[in-house]
Amino acid sequence: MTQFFMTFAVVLITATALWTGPEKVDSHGLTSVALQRYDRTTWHSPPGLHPGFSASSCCPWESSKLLQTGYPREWVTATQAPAVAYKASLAHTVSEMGVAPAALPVEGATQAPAVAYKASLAHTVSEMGVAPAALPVEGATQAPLIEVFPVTPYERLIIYENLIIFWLGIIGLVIIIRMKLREIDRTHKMGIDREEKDIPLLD
Amino acid sequence: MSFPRLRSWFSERYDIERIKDLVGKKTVPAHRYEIAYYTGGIALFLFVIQFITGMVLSLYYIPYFEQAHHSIIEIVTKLNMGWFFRSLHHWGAQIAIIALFVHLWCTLLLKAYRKPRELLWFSGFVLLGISIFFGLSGYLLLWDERAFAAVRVATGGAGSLPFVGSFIKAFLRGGTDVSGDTLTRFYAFHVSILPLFTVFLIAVHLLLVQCHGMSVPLSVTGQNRKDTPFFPNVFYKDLIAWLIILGIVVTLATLLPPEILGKADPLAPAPENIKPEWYFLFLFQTLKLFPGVIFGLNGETIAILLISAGILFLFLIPFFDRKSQRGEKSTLFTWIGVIYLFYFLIMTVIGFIS
Repeated sequence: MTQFFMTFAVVLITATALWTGPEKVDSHGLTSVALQRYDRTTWHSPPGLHPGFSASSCCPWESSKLLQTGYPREWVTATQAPAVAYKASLAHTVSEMGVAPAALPVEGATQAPAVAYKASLAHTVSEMGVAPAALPVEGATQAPLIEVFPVTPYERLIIYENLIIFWLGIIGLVIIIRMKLREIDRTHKMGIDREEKDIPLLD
Repeated sequence: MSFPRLRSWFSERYDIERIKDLVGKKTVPAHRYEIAYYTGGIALFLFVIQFITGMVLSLYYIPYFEQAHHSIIEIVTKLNMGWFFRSLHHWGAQIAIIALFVHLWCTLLLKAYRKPRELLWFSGFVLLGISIFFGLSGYLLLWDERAFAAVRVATGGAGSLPFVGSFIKAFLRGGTDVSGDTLTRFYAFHVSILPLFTVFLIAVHLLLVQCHGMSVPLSVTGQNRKDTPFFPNVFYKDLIAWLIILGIVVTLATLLPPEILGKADPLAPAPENIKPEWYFLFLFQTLKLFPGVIFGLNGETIAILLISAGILFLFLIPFFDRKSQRGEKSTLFTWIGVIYLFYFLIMTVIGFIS
């Protein structure tokens, strides 16, 4: 009996895992939602990756092609339709950049209110579009700040080192200029900076 | 390294000796307030930094509302030293405006605006106004939530002016609200219209300084003093000041790079506790002091009218200060300058900490 229940539990867990997929957390501890929010905000590599590198090489949810990423067919079809509608409503930008899974409406959220809202606004809003992300998304968090300074300790060390060298250069130059100024003052006081009118020339 | 052939090539065509004589004969008055003379040079140096960094950034910036924010993120995160140039541009602007304010107050308190230097005062005052508009227009180019909300507030404030307000607002925004059109417009202001005016006004300002010579404060006029030759003495001191300012700007740019918020969304509510740039804080704080309605009139309109009158008075101060024109000490206008200075400082500090 115990063996039966254990087998049933294993089957249940496997089925659930197959249905929902395993918890997709990347090496930086970001879930698909977090990554997508980050990408949507920055359209750039997630924190922890070197600038220029994208998470798409390792994280399937980075791809805009849902059907190729092995997501459950039902989930894909449920989300793809509004995505297509949304894509069609916008210009080339969105279609080029793709609509990632987390950017799509989650359960309970529909495209209709967004479209209706869009229609009621002026050209600015209609051009910019109302992304599904503007709708309340369950579990959505505040978009993280964009890294405006190199994040790796090595790069930071180089930058701080350069700053110190830069200041040493400035201090050195200031000292040289001050020495030059003193020299000018000294020659000025001695009066040897003035040209004599009737100075004899040695030919 | 004297390049005699190059030198003779030039001297055959141009009167270099005359220019050398002019530079050699130029002197700067030496007195206890002479430090004020360096503020103008510092402002000029910062303008040069702004022009250089701005040109570098404009190579990569995309002035279209869909790509503007993204292009800045690309500049900051992908380009080599992109973050540094952006940060340098940001801090250069802040320090340039500080330098201009300091230069303005030095001129005001030392009465350097008095006859015959009225045009110098006007050109400098307009340059400060242009620099502030540079700041505002550059702020929107970021196209993030905060910039969007701040420009909406700033252009909305301009709209409170009676008669011309709605025209100014529509002209600045390029429509009824801040939109992609505003971004395009502000970009045009920031990279072509304002720089053109700035270069012209700086040229006029420098020409007038050469024409009139350096102003001597009334309190030291008539004293026996020894003037310092501009080249090389004052020039070298200018160099020292520029080097130190460059160091400060680079340090701030490295240690405090300006942050970037999320992309502007016209539908999203304005971020909490939003404040304008520091040089608008005194206006912002003054507007807060006024009630919504005063004698049945819009309080904001009255506040903006009063502020405009105050700024206009400062602009036209060379005409009001008759004593200075006659070369007499005018304590009243010194106090007016001090009150203006303290009002600006106190309101800015209150606006900053509140």
